[in-house]
Amino acid sequence: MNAFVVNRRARWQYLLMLAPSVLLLAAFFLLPLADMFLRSFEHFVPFGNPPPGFTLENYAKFVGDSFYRLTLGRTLLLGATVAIISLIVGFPMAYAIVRVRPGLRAFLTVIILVPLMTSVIIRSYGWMILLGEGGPLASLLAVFGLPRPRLMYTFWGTVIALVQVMMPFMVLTLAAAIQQISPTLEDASRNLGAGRLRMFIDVILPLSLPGVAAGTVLVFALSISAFATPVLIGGASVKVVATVVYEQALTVINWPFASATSFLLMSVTLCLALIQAKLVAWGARWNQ
Amino acid sequence: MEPVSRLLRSVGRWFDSHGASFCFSLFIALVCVFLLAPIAVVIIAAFNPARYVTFPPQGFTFGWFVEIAKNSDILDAAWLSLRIAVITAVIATVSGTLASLVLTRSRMPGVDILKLLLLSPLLVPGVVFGIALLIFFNQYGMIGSVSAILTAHICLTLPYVVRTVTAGLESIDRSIEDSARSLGASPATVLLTVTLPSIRSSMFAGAIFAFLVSFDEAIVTLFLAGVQGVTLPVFIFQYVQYNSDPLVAAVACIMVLVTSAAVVTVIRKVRVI
Repeated sequence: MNAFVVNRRARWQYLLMLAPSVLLLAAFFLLPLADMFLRSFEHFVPFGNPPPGFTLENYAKFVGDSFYRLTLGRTLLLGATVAIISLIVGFPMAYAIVRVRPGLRAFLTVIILVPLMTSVIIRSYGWMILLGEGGPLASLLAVFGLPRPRLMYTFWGTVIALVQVMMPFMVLTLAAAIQQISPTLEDASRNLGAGRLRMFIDVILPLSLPGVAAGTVLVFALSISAFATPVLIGGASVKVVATVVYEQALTVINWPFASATSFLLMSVTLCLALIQAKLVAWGARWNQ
Repeated sequence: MEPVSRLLRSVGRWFDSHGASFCFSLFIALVCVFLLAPIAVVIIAAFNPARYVTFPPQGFTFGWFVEIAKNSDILDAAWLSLRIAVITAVIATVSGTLASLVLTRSRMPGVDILKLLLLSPLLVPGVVFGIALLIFFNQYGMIGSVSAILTAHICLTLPYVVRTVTAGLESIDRSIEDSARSLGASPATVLLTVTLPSIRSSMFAGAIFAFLVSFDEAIVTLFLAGVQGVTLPVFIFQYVQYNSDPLVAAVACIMVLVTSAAVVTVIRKVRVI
């Protein structure tokens, strides 16, 4: 009897403790998203109230118009390219962070975290300077008499900048996976005569496979929804789905269409997040 | 073919004994340069006296920082950003810590779903949350208001606080709380004198993360900024699209300093990787 009373009181206390964050998220996160979802089925009338009724025309417009199909294709290609390059460049870095001596480890950790915590706006601005006219890259190539690189407002310029923006996510995910591999396995394979490359291919890569998959999915999901970097580096010539949402929302002010596009983008990233969570859970069981 | 394969083998052997670790270190160094390059050029550009960003710099000046101090738009944006980031950090840390206590200490059904809800703002793309809040707050004429930006930032920073504080709560020794209880301390006393003091550093790290995420957030804020709610990152975003002078490089330089100082402080307190 007594235990029951205590329990019930504890439950009330728990609910009270949850209330601020849950109410906040319900009112200013879930409700606006639900509202947006409903808006995506409204007719669009410029500068006026929409006529009542339910329509799928906003979704049909995104799927049917070749401009938006092209934008979607470009966005997916950008995401895949960034994910693969981040994986190739990030893997050695993740391995180094896990295996180097503690002092160096702290140093490398700072180098990963400072860009992660620096505003994406500032990093993209840095890439505008780096890739732009009068930037270090152009000056360096000019010294050797080489032509100025054309990277600003191009697909590959956007890829380079996005790889830098996404790299910390990849490295942190991979490092978590590599950390679970026992160093004794590496020593064993080396003692049995395997070269470093052999050891990497036969031991480290297979054991970190779930981490590799999780990191790639995460970076792909983040890249296809990236906004600031494609706008600042890619500009009008590298339009992505997020740019379409922004323009429709703030320039064209076609909110039903912006809502529909947003909802499609969100569905894709939520599915990818689900896959990524499954991969991480799989990775936890992988080495046992 | 014999000489070729012998050559390949000896190259492989050389690579294994000397080359591999050298190449590996070189590669890591290049990746570090790649990661820091965009931040470094912003800092270098901030001290360049030329009206256009040029490399190599044409001299050294603090002029752009003086210019910032005279520019009321930038000062207003900085003050707004700072206010929002501090209030966000306080509210997110308090409510996030309370929620984390329930997530780790209660055996209520549905705790997993609650945790998913608390972390979910990280899963939704910034532009999507941005347009959703734009439509939502526009109904109440709240675009550009501090409270609209504030609620958005609290939602966005809660996941960071919950993650950090939950990790802290899971790592502390539960038996100390149990001992305190069995020695007659009330749950409230245990919370105030045992639990909270032992997760002090995770709460601190969570608060710093919340501050930084809010201080640096640009995408969702861009949708809510209107005319009055221009925060520092939004100002930079709008400025760099139409201007090419290094004025905002100086602003960015100050923001990078704030960020780096915070990151180094957090790393000393808690283990991140």
